[in-house]
Amino acid sequence: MSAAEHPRHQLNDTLTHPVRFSLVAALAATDEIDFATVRDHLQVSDSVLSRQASALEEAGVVRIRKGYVGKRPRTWLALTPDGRTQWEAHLAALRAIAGA
Amino acid sequence: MTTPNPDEARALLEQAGRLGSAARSGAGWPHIALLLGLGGLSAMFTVALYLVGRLDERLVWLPMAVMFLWLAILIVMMVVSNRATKAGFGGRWRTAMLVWAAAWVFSVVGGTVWWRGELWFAIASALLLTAVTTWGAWREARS
Repeated sequence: MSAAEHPRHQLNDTLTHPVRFSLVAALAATDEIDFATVRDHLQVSDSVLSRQASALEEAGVVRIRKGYVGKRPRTWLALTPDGRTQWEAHLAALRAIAGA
Repeated sequence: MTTPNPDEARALLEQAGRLGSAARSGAGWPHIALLLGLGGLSAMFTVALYLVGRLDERLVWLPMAVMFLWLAILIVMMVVSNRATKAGFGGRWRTAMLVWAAAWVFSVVGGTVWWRGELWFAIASALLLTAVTTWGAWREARS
């Protein structure tokens, strides 16, 4: 197998960061999930999750929606269609490496 | 970027699966509760509609008011407690609501126009509304 064909070239740099990987894995199973819930699943601080979610939003992987439930602010996170495609490609590359 | 070896790639895939399952596990229950509540309310309403028809039709506002009050409570509770929606929820929800709405319109029109005062239709309507909402809730729970 030549270097260009190796599945590692299909890995997405944006998604290799541990927190970003975990965040996108959680988002991929949902249509939308609120900030506090995903923070508890990932066991990270608000600031860490906020920073990584913003980085993913800038990369077009995640959509961040801010709203209110009653008077309480709530932030919702979701994968964009392009983000879902990128995630599937990243998982396919990992499967290829795991099976190599 | 450090390329993961096969063992690390497998561990990452397992981690992704675990996180996905955890995110899904708590999702959906507010919607399931609303669907079951909607089924209970609308099924009881068709029975109430039959009984009101036999007693005093002017009292039809009473079961209707109780039903809409509880529907409002259920919707508010769903919105407040909803923290996550499972992937594909939008399509499943639209289907469940459309099927329920069709069953509801059929039950109300049938109970007030076509088979007015017929006990068998009140029972059949209650069973139909129970079946379609339980199906929707079951599908959401299994997704």
